Amino acid sequence: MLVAGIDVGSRTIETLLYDGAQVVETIVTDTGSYPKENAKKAFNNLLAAASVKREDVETIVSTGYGRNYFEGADRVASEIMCHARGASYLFPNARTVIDIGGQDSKMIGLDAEGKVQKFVMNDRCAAGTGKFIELVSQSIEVPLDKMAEATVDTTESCDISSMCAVFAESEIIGLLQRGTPLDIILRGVFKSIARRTLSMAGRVGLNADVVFTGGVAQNAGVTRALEEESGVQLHVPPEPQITGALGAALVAAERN
Amino acid sequence: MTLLKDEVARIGMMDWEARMNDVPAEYRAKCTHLRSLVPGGVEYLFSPYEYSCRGDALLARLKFDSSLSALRLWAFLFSEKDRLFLAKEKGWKIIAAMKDLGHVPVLSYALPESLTFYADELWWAPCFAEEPHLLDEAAKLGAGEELCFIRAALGAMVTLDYFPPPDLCIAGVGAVCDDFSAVMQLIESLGYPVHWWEMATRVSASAPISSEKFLRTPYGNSEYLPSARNFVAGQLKGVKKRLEKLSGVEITEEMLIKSRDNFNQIRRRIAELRDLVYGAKNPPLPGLEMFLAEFIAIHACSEPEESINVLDDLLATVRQRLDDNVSPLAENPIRVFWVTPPTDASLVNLLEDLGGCIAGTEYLISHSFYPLATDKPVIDAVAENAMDDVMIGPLEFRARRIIEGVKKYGAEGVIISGISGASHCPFDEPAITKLVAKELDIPVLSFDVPYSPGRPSEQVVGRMESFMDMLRSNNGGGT
Repeated sequence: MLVAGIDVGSRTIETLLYDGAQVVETIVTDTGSYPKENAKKAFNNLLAAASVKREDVETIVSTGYGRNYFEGADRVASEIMCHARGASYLFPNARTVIDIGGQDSKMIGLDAEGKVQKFVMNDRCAAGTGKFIELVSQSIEVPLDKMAEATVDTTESCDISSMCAVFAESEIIGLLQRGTPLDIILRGVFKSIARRTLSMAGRVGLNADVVFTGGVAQNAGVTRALEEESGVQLHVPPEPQITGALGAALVAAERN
Repeated sequence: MTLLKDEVARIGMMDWEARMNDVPAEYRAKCTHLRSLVPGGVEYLFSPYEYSCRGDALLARLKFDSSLSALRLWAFLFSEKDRLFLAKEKGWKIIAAMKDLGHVPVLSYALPESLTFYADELWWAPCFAEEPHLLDEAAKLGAGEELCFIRAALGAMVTLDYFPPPDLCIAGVGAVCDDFSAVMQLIESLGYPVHWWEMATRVSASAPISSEKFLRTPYGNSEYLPSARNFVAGQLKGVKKRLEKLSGVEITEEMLIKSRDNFNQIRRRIAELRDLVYGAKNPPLPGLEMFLAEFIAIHACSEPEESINVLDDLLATVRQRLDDNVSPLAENPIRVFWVTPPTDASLVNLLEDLGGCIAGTEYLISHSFYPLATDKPVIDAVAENAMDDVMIGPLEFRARRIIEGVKKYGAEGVIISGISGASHCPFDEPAITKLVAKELDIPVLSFDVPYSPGRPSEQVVGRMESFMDMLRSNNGGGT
């Protein structure tokens, strides 16, 4: 059996092949401005990388904000369901999933069987999402993959009080101008994201094991801030950004 | 062509258009309004497409029930504008009742040669979302995005696209929403004559503020202080006097009784519709038509007598479908209780597209499904019914009514759709969610419905899809 999951997100498209026992291949590409075309291209690249043909793939499930853009899907599934499925596959004791993606963050409460019991989403503004980190990266001229590294030895942080990503960016520039060290500002940014994310915990609960997924989970600085602010240790998959696509593939496998 | 009477489905606007030639002439002739104004009345049974061509273009995105009675309901709703303009042209008095949720019309419809409408109901009309110019007009006058969609009523008072200039506006204040009071003050500043009346707060029996003995409403079982009810009755007497001054006609108790009886007929029919539709495993009518029907309880679409006929027709359809065991929805849908009217009507369609159905509602008008008492003066009965209004008391009271509704209709989940900008919504949602979750242990989804003309926002769609997936999974239906 070979099935595929495709997660068409706001920032990246994750595609994944699963053979019923393990992940066979994954490819992550930028969503860009043409998600429909790019999703198709990403899926074709996945097939090519795994040296398989479309006919070899029994079922394809798409998820993510752009799930309906991918015309090759046999069915679509909600992101909440796919993230929950992917997280509990990787961590069977997971009871809470925190997912921070490009343009939203979500918290999902699971039961012992990995079924979704509650969920809450924050997608009203960019603050607290991957897009906010990207904006900060650009304004302070530190590459995304170097941001966490810059704060490894830092224990201090400053308050980023603006609730809007655009105003927060201005606030950060102001802090830089006043001579606040970069690492302290970045810690402040990570803590701000953590607090915003954890504000959702009141509705869902933060029951262990807590799994952190999504593209932002690649940022160790945010993981650390979340752990410090919540007092809970997080489980982060090796490739946290593909959790949704993995969940989609698992849904596809169940349907076969 | 499928015969209309045999078809049980949800169909699109153009599907209806294609079927209009099949509508029997005798049925069209039956659907008339303004019979007391024009001999024989005026036919109003046009297709949704017809109304779409007249400006309600967003009807194209909705799915409608395929029954003739549903067609009549839609046409009756959209022809309200025609009624108002024609009545005005013929010299009738036009009264805008606002934010009292069903109390004033019982009094105002006692007046001969007048029509009453709710200017603030614009925001929920399915056509509203295509009218951004109303919001632009309101913004010019100082009512921007910080206020809820009822600010469109202010814009409509400027453009007069939806209704002619009212001869009198009757505005409720006090224990009603703040947005409305703000909008209404701006309407008054435009020069419209406004009569203000105040709604009393219903204090909880646990609040030790009075030595008065609490009473209970006969139908809603709400605790209230007689002084609050008497205060409202006094305010309504002031409304009656103002109506008499406007018309030069004394409103007798007999006239009020006739109006009360009309509204009781409407209320009983809607209560029965709710029980038959929401109580059915496979609902015989979609949620959108129920949405429209429920609101007739408060506004009667400017014509109570024809409202009764429209509701009778719907009830006949519902009973027939229950007898035939047919439904326009997917079999065994997931049952969802809906709280607060969705300001995007297409969300109700979406719920059904996702395999759900509406099994009970609390659209802030649940008091208007209770009949008005007939053993007391009409104004006292209306004031007593006002004590059942969920907006005038503690949130726990509203949550209690929701919990009762969920239990009654066997809902598996609750959706709370907040109205963007409405001052009460941020407070409603957490309290209701907490109490519902504590007592019923069923999932609750809450979201604000943003202004999103043309299609529902992606965020709302994503939440609803996830919620329905979750309910389906809880229901043993897998993913």
